Amino acid sequence: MIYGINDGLVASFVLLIVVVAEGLIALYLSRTGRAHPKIRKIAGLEAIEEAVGRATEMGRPITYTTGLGGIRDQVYYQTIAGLNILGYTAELAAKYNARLIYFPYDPTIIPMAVDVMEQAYIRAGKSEAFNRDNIQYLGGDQFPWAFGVLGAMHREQSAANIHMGPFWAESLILSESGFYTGAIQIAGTANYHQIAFFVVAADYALIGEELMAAGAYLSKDPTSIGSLWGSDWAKITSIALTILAVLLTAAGVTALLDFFAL
Amino acid sequence: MSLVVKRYIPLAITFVMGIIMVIATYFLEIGSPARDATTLLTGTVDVIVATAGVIGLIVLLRHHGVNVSRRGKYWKYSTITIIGVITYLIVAVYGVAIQGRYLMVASEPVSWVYNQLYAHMDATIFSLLAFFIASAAYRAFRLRSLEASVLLLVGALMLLGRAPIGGVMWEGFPNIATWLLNVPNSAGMRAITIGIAIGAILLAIRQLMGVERGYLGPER
Repeated sequence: MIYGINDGLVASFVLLIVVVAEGLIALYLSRTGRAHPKIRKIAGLEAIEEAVGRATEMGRPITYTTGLGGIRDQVYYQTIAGLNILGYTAELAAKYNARLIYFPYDPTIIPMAVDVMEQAYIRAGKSEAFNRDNIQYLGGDQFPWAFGVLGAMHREQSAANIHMGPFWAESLILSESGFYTGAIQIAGTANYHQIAFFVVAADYALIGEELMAAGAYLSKDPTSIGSLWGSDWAKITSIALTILAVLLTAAGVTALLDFFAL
Repeated sequence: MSLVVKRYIPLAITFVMGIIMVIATYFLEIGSPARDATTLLTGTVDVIVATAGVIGLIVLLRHHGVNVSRRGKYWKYSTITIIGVITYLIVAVYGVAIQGRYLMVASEPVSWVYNQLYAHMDATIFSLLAFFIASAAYRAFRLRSLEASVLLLVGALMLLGRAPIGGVMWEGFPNIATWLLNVPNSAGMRAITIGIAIGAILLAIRQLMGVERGYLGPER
């Protein structure tokens, strides 16, 4: 152990502290009104309202999935991000009187999804329109679940398909078969090996961190948006460190590389 | 349910557990009693998962049961689902009865159903992915824009570099494909990965501080 920190994690801890500090400072500045960061438009999130409106006009439902995530895996943060967008979508669906069907993969998120959707219907002033039957559990295995969703998309002739969360091989199955139903498709994942499939097959795609930023973006809450500003600082720090490490290594100085190995 | 139970207690649990996990990862040595204790703590998730499994089963049976009783849309499919679930449950209980094993250990009848039915159907579904890839590639590789043209060019080079015929045609194709994978592809992927990691840390901060709580229940 070095300075009480486990071996191999010293640099990771220092960088974590830097990123957290940048996030907290940005959050503090926006909460106290000392800074008013602006956020660029994210086309995929802006398109959700269009998708819900289209579903209302066509009288057909919207299908929503949060991928293969639950609360027990390492990609839970993507599931949480997906649930945040589910709340926004459910509120729009309630407002426009469109039917939203959600297909959870992991049973651990069913109670959370019920709460999120119920809250959304209450916010829209349509609590009586909330129907628990629109949360349909299809089983917790990858391909049976994916084909359950696919079957539902075809049977219900959904007007919009939204997939937000951790996806693996089923990403293309869902988005490509959804394309053949003629639905508008919005998808996002932080599983970088699946991003290409969504970019190719969906109408709008959220790439990586855009998914995590969605909750803050949709809330329009200045404090949350402030933390996104902090993530920009962290990215600038990462880029600066990378360039510095390249220059120092080229000059024969390995101090920074040695530090990263700690 | 009061706001304290529904909102503040979950937020407090989230915050405390988050801090404990950070401390355990960085400061507690692997194999130390304190680290083992935190591992045990994460084991409590299994209890939640086991309970949630029952909730999932109830939600599934309720949904399809209601559909069958109302002769709703596609009620025949719902009947098949219910029969499937109940049959598998019976097989599992029968397996436990004849082999005296715990439910978590797959008995012979359960393994048989899994290997003879499920595995084949699963593989069939997975293999359909090849056709989906082909149709998606056809649409993506059409020369509609500059980006699609670059995608087409890179895709063609990758195909020639990875398929045996490419190397026969010109020995440079495999090298180009390897370079494309190792240099521009790796650079792009690493940039995305760094962005995702930072985004995940900031999302965790928003959750630990209770700034982002869209995943919690109604505020009433």
